[in-house]
Amino acid sequence: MTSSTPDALWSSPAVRALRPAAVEVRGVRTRRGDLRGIDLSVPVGARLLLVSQPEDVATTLVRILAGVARPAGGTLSIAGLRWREAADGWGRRVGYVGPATGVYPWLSPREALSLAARLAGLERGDAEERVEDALDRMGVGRDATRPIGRGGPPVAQKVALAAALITDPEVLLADEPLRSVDPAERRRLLTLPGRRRTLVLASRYPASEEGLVNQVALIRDGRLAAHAAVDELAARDLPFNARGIEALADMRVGRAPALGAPSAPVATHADLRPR
Amino acid sequence: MSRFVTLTGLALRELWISFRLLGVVGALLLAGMPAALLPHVLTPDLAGAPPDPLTWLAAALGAALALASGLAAATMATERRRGTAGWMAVRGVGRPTIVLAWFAAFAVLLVVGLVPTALLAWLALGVAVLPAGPLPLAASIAAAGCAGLAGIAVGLLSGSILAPWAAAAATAFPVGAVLVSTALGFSGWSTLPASGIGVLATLDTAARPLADAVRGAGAALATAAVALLLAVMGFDRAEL
Repeated sequence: MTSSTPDALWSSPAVRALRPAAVEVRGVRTRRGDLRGIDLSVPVGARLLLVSQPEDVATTLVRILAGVARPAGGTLSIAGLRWREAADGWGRRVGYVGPATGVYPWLSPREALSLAARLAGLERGDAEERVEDALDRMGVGRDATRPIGRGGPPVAQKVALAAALITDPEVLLADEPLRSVDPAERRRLLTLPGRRRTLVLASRYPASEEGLVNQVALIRDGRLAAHAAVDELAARDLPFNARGIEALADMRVGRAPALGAPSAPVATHADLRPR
Repeated sequence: MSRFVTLTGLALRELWISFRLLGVVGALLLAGMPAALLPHVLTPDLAGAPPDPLTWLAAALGAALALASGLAAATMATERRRGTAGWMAVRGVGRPTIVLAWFAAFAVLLVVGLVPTALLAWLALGVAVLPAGPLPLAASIAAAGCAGLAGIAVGLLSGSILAPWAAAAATAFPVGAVLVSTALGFSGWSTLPASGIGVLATLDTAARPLADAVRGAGAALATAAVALLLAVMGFDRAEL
């Protein structure tokens, strides 16, 4: 890749400095108390892995960001929109794919994607083009006209991801996506959004997301315990897994890390800019 | 508007594929059967008293509308639970649109079920029971349908906040109790939401059935509007 490619331009220091945060979370809390005033800022183009203790808290935050769950307090903005301020813009600028696909099993993949495009307000011609493109890229062209339910969870999950990407959203929120798809295919599909799109990925199996993300964040006791560039784990000789991320958080608060890794300078906020 | 139409079509298709459409329309058609059959098969000895076909029709219609309300409640709760409502919401569809689309889909079901029911009842009863002609019967069945719409709006409200079975039970039993008891013992207050059913039950003796049916329909539609507003508010706060 040369420096003249869009990715290189997009990631250049000058452009990075001008870009606002894609996701801005301030003081968000829930009634259940699993989030107790969380603050998180994800720069445009970052690919963030979100893990938590307990494991389902990251899911709660992603569901709140997607607008399917409500916070008890705090402020949120994604892709320049305040939380659920403008439904139209939200549907176009933010994509969400969760563990429950939410797609009617009697729809065919082509119908489901056409419906997603229509609901998002895309023009008919543009929508048809995008649907065909998505079917090809997701590798469900063979099942395009069969009910999704007959293809089983892998087809349903691929269609859910394709529907989330049909509007080419600025931010993709993913919560345990494509768990029924084989790992190599899953990795291929999760890199489809491209390097310029912001990704927030909640996962209970961080090790399986290595190479897909460039930032990690840990929510512990309802608050953000760590948010760092992936490189920082390597710099501190920490493994890319749940224990490594927890050890990083321990180091941040001056607690002895569980893994006994050597300490290294903590990343500044500027280090969290996407590369 | 186009999203509302799209979602209503999708809701109707879901109701058709899951056999709920057939269940509701079938129940409404069955409600017309007592009027057609019972006067001929039940004798005073068997039933204890001469069966009044209009009361039977109204009571059966009340039960069928309660079933439709319970199904609406279970449907709304299931849509929330399995993530299909969430799938719509993240596409940028407003939550009120989702509730209104489901209401419209169930309203279509009521119309599709009640038209043949009214026809069946008129063919079975005819001028022998209804000397004033078919118009009062049509008006009172329409008013009963409006009471059903109020029941469906209540169902959507409970489906927005409760689990599927709880929502279905919390809707079908109270709505059924109100509608069936109105059919069996109508007080004559035509300004109550369920009074369409009562007007239908007393159609052969009512002095002003048309006016009573219109008043009952108005009261039922006002109740439906309030329940629908509460359902939208409840759904807006719900986790999808």
